[in-house]
Amino acid sequence: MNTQDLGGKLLPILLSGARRNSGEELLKLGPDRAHSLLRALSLTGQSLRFKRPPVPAEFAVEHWPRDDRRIVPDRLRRPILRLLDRSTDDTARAVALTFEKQRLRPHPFDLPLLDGFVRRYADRLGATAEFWVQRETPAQQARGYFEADVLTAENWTESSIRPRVQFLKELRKQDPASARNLLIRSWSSENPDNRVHLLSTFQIGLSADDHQFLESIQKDRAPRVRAIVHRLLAALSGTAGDNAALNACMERIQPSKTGLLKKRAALKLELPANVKEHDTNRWIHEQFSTVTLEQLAHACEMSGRKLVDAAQKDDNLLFALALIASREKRFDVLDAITEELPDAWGRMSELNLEDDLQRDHDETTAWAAVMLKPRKWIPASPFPAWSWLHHQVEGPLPVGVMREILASKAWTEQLEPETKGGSELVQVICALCPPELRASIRAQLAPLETDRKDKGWMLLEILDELESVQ
Amino acid sequence: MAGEPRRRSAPSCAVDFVPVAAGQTRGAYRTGERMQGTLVFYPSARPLRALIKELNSPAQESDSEFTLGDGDLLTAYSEHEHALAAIPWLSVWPLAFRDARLRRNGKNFYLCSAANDELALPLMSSQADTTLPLLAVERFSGFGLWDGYACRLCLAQTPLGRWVAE
Repeated sequence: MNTQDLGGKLLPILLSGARRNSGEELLKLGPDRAHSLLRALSLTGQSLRFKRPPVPAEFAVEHWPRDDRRIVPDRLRRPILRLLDRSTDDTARAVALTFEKQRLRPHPFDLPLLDGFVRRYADRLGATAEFWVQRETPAQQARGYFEADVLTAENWTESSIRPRVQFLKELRKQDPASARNLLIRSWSSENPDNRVHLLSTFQIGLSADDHQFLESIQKDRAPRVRAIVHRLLAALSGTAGDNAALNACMERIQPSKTGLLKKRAALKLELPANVKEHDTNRWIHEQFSTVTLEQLAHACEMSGRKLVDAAQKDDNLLFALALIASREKRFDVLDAITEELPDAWGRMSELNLEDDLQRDHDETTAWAAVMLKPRKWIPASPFPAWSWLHHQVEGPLPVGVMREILASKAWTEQLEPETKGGSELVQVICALCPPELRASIRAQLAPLETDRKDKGWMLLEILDELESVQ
Repeated sequence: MAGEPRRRSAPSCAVDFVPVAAGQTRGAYRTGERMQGTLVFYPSARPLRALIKELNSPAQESDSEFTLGDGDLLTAYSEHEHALAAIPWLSVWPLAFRDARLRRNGKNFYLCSAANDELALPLMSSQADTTLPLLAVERFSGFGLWDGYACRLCLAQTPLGRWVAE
């Protein structure tokens, strides 16, 4: 009896319990029935072990995208895995930003181990990472993975939102009409987040030619889009048009005179009685979201700079002005505001502000330089504001600002031996630290306990290594 | 662990006199480390279990490729069949092979020869996520453990470098 007989003849008998078949072939295997059965079972079972697994009728065809980015060097793979294991989001963001800047991507074999990191920062890690994140998405919902050095009018819709915003911004500077037409064509297929970011580029080169398109999308179903449309239309109408939001704000702003010898104008923002203290920032943000600096200054009959002087004694009005000036990139006015309200950035961090893709690197640097006045800090800034700041700046702070931070009491107090705490603050400060000052911060961190400084030190080393990759 | 009991390199399972692991490491040695020593194999129709008789050099990390023999996946599987014929109670058998690739049917992954689909060994479902990046590799040499139902891929040497199972 061979294996085919075992499989073809004996196996059915054994499976059916020999009820339908007398099993004569089975009984030949031993001196008696019991031995025959045992032998049949063992031989048949063993013969099945030689049966090769069936080959599926077809296999999937894999379509991994082409990814021109360099893979991170092998020597850095394990340190990066160790760093990102139980690190803060600030550390992960710093690593992702450096990957993007250096045009690097994680090693494909590390993608399963870095799943959370890759999911969060896929748009910064290259086409392979984006493919990895979408691998379980149905084909009709998956976005194409496309990363090109140069976007054009033909391929601009295929990339992720960040490069598209940059492309549209540049096009708005050169040819606002073409940029507008491109956006009109793709508008209906964009999701709300993309509409917000792309529409915000209309701040550049805004003109009466944009009016018709903006009017047509005034009733967009996304509230954030409607807010931007109202703001842009308000900017177009300038001081001439009627802005209901401005009127409402002016009802709340109380003018007066101050000074003994020389009277000067003073303004105060009166909050409604039902606005609680913890809601103040949110209320101010909502009230002033569609008001421009030009309109406010015109309504108060003074220049933007004079507005700041008049609001000197009122932190709430200063904060409102800071929001507007930050949004309109009026860094001169913002500089004056933060001289009086150095904690404006701390108050901003409590709001759920959108990722601002409109600021390029130079504008972000200028914004950070005027927002942060470490010399003027009195209380220690709360930890969450540092994280928010890193999120806004998307990279290290300017050297001058960081130098002041490292010398500030808010930071040096954290380095005292008796100060207890986790490693989160150290990690975010290391993430914000520019390369020129890494040696200084390493020296400052040296006396700290290992568990407080370990991740921060690792981050500095890995950033140094990544930035040196040729 | 690869040793040289006789004239050719062969996989072995070191069962005794292996240095005790300390701390959070899973074992005393990491994949890729090399050392020189002498193994003594338990007698068997297909010797696999071994004791470490002596170590002549400490374990050192090495990036050089493993020596995995010259056979493809079908050759490795045939060796398993010969071993099974000699040892009917055989459970897990090591497969060392060249020129293989990973393929997918639905959610199931299969280890196949790169040249053809004559043999398709199902991969353990628990490895689906970690082996997914290997789908992009056209051919690799590697090492796995076959238990008669599913293969546990332990190592793949690819143009992108070494993949090691966690």
